[in-house]
Amino acid sequence: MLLELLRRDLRLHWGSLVVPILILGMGLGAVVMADEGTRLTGLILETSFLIPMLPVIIHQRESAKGTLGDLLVLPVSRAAVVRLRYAEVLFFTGGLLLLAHAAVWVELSVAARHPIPMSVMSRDQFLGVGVLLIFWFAYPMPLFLGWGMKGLVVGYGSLITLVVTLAMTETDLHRFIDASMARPVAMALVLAGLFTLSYLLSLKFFSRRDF
Amino acid sequence: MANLLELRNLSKSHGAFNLRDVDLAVPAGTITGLIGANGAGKSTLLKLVLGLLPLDGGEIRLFGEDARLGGARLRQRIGFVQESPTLFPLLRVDELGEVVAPFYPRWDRATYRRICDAFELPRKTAFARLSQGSRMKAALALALSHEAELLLLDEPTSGLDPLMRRDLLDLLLEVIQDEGRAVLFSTHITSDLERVADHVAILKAGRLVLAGAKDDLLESWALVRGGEELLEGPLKDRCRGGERTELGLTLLCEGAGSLASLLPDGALQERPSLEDLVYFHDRGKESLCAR
Repeated sequence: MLLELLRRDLRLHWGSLVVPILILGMGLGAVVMADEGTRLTGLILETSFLIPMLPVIIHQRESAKGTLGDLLVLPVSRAAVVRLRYAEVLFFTGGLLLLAHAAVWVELSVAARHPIPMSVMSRDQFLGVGVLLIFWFAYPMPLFLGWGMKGLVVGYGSLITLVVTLAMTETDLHRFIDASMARPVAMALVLAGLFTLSYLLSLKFFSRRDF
Repeated sequence: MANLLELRNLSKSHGAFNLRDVDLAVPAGTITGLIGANGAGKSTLLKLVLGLLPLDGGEIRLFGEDARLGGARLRQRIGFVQESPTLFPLLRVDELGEVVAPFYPRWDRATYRRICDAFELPRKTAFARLSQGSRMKAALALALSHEAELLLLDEPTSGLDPLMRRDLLDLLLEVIQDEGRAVLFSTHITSDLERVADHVAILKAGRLVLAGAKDDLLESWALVRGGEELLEGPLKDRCRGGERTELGLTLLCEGAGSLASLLPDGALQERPSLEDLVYFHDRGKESLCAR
């Protein structure tokens, strides 16, 4: 079911995804050209801002065109639609990171540099992608699925306010982040927990919506 | 006959609109017409059945099961057509079938092609470029290609020309030749239902005011026309609505079979049409009727 829904989304909405995917593609070029130490930093930031937009674009397009109602008239549960949105963000993130790796491996092969590493991303960079996905996707998604664009604006608005407030106060954010990164397993578990919590809230809010 | 759909005490508040205490059954092998003016609650009721709106109260049973528990699985057995099908404007008619097919285990590609051909639908044309009538036909072809047992049609004939309307009604009659299937068909065009419906349900302002076998309803109600003397006798107790015009009074009365003895001299009793039932029921009730 999930695979069928994903294929349906890609088939119906590929036109809306062209521009963000092009921007992500340009990011791949930057990855190859950047210095080894910083090559993925830009891509990770780009991924974390743009990837969460893809399921939002698809969902909002379906809402605006009235085809979300058509979808829910099919034998598709609301839970399946929520699962789809969460699967999409993982699918697009995973896909892009794989592409980035592929681009770097090709570049290293062409330059005949050895050895070619299994992963060009560090553990902290993987965790960084997870943290940013929690902030930019998992935090606003329940509000978006429950209340549409108004919910999304409230979600992003409150998030930006929080980040700006933290940046302007004396909070020792860096020390907290470093301490968290030093415990990668615990950090990964916390991220997975937050992602699950977001999914459960999305289910609850989306199941109450009128179409 | 088993009921494919049963609504029990259904209620829903949706903005300023309230649907209240709706009880309705749709037996297999029948066409049930849901009649009401625009805004009466027909679409809301169908959306509740499909789960597009969560229930506030009451129960929906589909194929004998609680619709809330059966959810998506039960919708495999339903075909739905809405008044203005949106579907996916850029997809061609044949692509529409391909997009919908994976969600229905009983989808039959050959049936879809056959129905499209029978409807003379251009399979290579984008949905957005079809006429209103052809869009409706495409939506119907989708609804009929997975062996749906219950067809829910929301105003399917509005916007269709008379020839196409007649074709559609004939098709519905064909559908229920299979006695395991049923159609619930909302409309405000009562003449469509006069022709094909076995049962009718009349919604007014979110309340189901009349429901039953069409012929029984038409037999048991009467229109009585006459002067002011209609209101002076026991007829007033049978009155459920009416209208006062320059030409006199028209009352909608129940118990048509036993009205004759209650009619004052000069009064005329007529069999109402479905439109009369919709129009007169509850109309002017406070000023004309005893209760």
